Parts: sequence; structure tokens; C-alpha cells
Amino acid sequence: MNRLSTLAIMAMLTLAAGHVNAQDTSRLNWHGYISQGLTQSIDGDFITSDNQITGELTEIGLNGLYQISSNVSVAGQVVYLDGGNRFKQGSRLDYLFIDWTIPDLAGWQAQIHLGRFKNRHWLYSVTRDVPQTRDTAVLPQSVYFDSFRDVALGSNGVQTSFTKYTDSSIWQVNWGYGRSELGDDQRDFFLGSDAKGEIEQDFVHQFSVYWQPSSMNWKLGVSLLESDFSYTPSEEDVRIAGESNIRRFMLSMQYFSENWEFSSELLREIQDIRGAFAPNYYDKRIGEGGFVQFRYLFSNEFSGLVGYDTYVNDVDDRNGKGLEAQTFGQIPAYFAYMDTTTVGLRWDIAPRWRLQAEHHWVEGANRVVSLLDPSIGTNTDKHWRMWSVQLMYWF
Amino acid sequence: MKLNINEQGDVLLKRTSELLRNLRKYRRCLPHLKALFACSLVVWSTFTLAAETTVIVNSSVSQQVLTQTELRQIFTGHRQFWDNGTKIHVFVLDDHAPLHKSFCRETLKMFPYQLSRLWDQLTYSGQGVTPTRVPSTEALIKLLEDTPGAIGYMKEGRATDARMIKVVTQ
Repeated sequence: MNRLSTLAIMAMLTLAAGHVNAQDTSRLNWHGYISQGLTQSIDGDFITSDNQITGELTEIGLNGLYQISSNVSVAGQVVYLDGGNRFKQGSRLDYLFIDWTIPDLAGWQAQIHLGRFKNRHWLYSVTRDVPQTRDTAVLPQSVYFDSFRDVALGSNGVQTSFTKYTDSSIWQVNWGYGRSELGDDQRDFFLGSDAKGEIEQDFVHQFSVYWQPSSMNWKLGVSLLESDFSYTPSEEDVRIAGESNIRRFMLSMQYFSENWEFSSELLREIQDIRGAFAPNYYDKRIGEGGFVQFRYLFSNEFSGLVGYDTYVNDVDDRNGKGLEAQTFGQIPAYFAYMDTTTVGLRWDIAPRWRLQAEHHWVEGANRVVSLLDPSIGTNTDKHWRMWSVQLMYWF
Repeated sequence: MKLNINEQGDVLLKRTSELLRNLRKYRRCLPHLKALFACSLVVWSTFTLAAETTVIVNSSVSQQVLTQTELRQIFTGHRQFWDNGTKIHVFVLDDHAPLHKSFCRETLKMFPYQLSRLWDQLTYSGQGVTPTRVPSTEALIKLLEDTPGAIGYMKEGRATDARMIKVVTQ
């Protein structure tokens, strides 16, 4: 589907949704959002190539929720995304699931989602593509790695959520099991663009626990992820069959005050890969990172943000000297890590209208491009920047 | 700069105390100033009481009392039905409306932007139905009166066909 026809369909659906939305008492609820921005990455090809300023920052979504009965509903959302080089441009089915709610299960409220569901285990994962729910257009890449967004965003399978409300606190336990389809771009990221076979996610298993006081001004959580991938080579392929396992452990924290908010997530991930490059090939790495973000609300309309995000690809090679030596200088050392300092400004122009701007100063390029990309040596400088200005409307 | 009712009260108290200190040498004026101060307090207290928000429901709702926890569940979109199975319809004012702010802070003990964030997360991930925002108190009360299962808020003392519902902490 090309961009113009997608935009036209979305615009028509938006108008239709506006009409339906007036009927708030019906069983059907429609909502959506549309946003367009200007963006540039400078001395790095993360968003745009050759230091170009472009409009490759478009996010459009339309969703519906139909209440079948008091405890069963169907929910779905389609999105159109253009994030420049960050991920594949186009339309996607964001989620489509049956929601079964059990109001009281031994004192817990249970929610079961069957179908394509959103990952609700991290602070921003559940609405990652919804611009007005994010602090920045480009989320901290240590956790919300854009090249892998389609896999991390959601899965086809089952997800359950158990919530317990007490007078003093709220506990939420989430569990999900499923898999996602991987595209050629993700195969290339894993195995290089000369791989011609098929990569599959065998499963992803996620679990998280969150605690909040009853006022919900604190949110503390722990999440775990495990996923297996396998590669089946094509008949004429330079790669051979292989498999990979990824485990991620993460701590999440958020605090809301009257005039400021703070959020942070810290992660450790272990990845191993067998085969694919050679019959006895085996590699294991442990990556670490995390981010902190602080937003101050100057007034009802204006707020500002500062943030810091850091990631190392391998804790045993934090400065990347080992990577550089191993590849005989083909991969510069700064592709082993990435540190980003961010400032942002937000202006709530009117209800449901927002203008958001941000600037990121980056050292390192680990999350920019696959380490197997042949253009890696010239793709991005050690120090680079990116910025964006985004106008958004939602209903 | 706009101040809320409590801040206005604080400023009034502070300024009156300063005035009292500065005018201490004019002791003969003190009884009159004390009377003025007492009158101000009475006026301020009356004003504060009159401005209190109260939770109201459509007359079809049979529930008489809500706990603070139940009220939060309803306004955060985590409870969608009354005990008798009727759908709950939540009506609220825009984020910056003074009545919405005081309801969030004083009744829910939350910040308006925090609530708004939660609603957006629910709405755009298919996890629930969030409140309907209305532009004025009059519209909110009218919708609430006309919608079975509706819940909202208003300033105490307004005439309405909707029913006040008691919120208890336990």
C-alpha cells in the first residue's frame, strides 16, 4: 500500500470515526491519532541519510473497541508509520485481540488477550507508536531499539494480566506467550544482507510484575523476556542453519509529582547464537544499558525534558576495542556502545493538539546499524546528532 | 497568576498575619483587626466549602456508596460495570478545567496529567474504554442526567436530577 492511498484511507476512516465517536453510549468506541514531523540525523544515518532534513516522521493510527458482552470485547488498531531509516515504512496491524475480563478471580481482576496483542511489560511498550503517549519521538534506544520494534512491540498468542487493588496499593502481574513474523530487514540485521533464507521467531515468553501505591504516583516493576529465533537457509545462501536465544531482564521505575515526572528503565540482556555463520560457530554476549528521563511541567501548556540513555553491546568489551581488533578495523570501536543526551520541549497548543520538539546528542553508534552491514565503516560518525519537531492530533 | 482556593486562603492568612505584625504598635486597632481577620476566615471557609466537588451518578445507579479504591478503578478505566451489570459511563471535564483539577487532586488524590496519561495508554492499546471529555459543567451534568449508568462530578450545591454518591476511604 503506498503512502498516499494509506493516508487517504486513514483520513476517510478518521472522518467516519469522528461521526461514530459522538455515539458514546454505543458498544463501539473509535479513537485515532495523526502526526507529522520534520526530522534529521546529522553525521549519522539513523533517521535520515546524507544529513537530509525530511518529513519521514509520520504516525497515523485508528482503533476500535467493540464490547460484545460485559466481560468480552474485541479491540484492534491499524497504523501507518514512517520513521525514516529506523524501521520499515508502511501500514501495520498493530493489534487485534479478544479481551476476556474476569472481574473477580480470588480477589484479582484478570484480563486475557487472545490474538495479536501489545507488549505491556515495559513503561512505554504498550503505546510505543502513539506519539502523544511518549516523551520523545525517538525513544531511548537501549530499551526501545527501533530496528527490532516489530518483534518487541507485540506478539501473536496469549497475554494475561492480573490486577489486585487494595486500599494502599495496586499489584499487576502480566504474562504473555507468542511469536511475531520477522521481515527481511530483521533477517538482514541479525545475519547481514547477504543472508537469503528465512528467519523465524520460535517463541517469545514475557513476564512482569508492577507495584503502585493507591495514588499511582509511583510505579515500580520487574520484567523478564526470553525468545528463540531460528534461521533456515535458502538453496543458494552464504549462511547455514542456525539459532539464537535472547534473554532480557529489566527494572522499570516511574514517579509522578505535581510539576515533574521521572522515569527510568535498566536492562541486561544475554544473547547467544549457534551456527548460521559456520557449523561450529558459537557466540555469546551480555549487553547492558538503561535510561533516565526527567520532565518538568512549566505550566499547563509547556513542559521540558532532559534524558540520558546508555547501552553497551558487550559488557566484556565496553569501549569496543576488542570488536575493532577482532574485525581488523572494519568495525570502529564506537559501534560497540551508544550514549545519548536528550532535551525536549512540549507545547500543548489546545486540547488534543500538541507540538513536540527534541534534540539528541549521541556518542557511539551501536543501535544505528547492524554490525554486519557492509556500510558500517562510513555509516555514522563517533559523535552525531538527531532532532525532530512533531505536530500531533488525537481523538 | 491564578491560585486555587487553598492557595488563596493561605495568601489571605499570610497577608493578614503580616498586617497584624506591622500594626502591632497601633494596639488600639487590634480588636478591630482581629474581628476583620475572623470575618475573613469565615468568608474563606464558606467559600472553600461551597467549592467542594462531589461525585454524582445517574439516578438509575442503585449503588449508594463507593470506596476510594472503587472510585479510582472507575476513573482509571479499570472498572467498566456497576455491580448490577450496567455499563459505567464516565464523564469528565477537560484537563485544565479547575473543577477537574480539584476533583483529581482532592477526591482521587492524583494529578490530572497522570490520569490523562493512563487514559491514553488504555485507549490506544485496546485495554478499555476511557471517560468522555465534555467542554462544560452544564454539558457534563446534562449528559449525566440523560445517560443510564453515568458517573461524574460537580460542585456541591448545584441543582440536578443526578444523585450524589458517598465516597468512603475504607
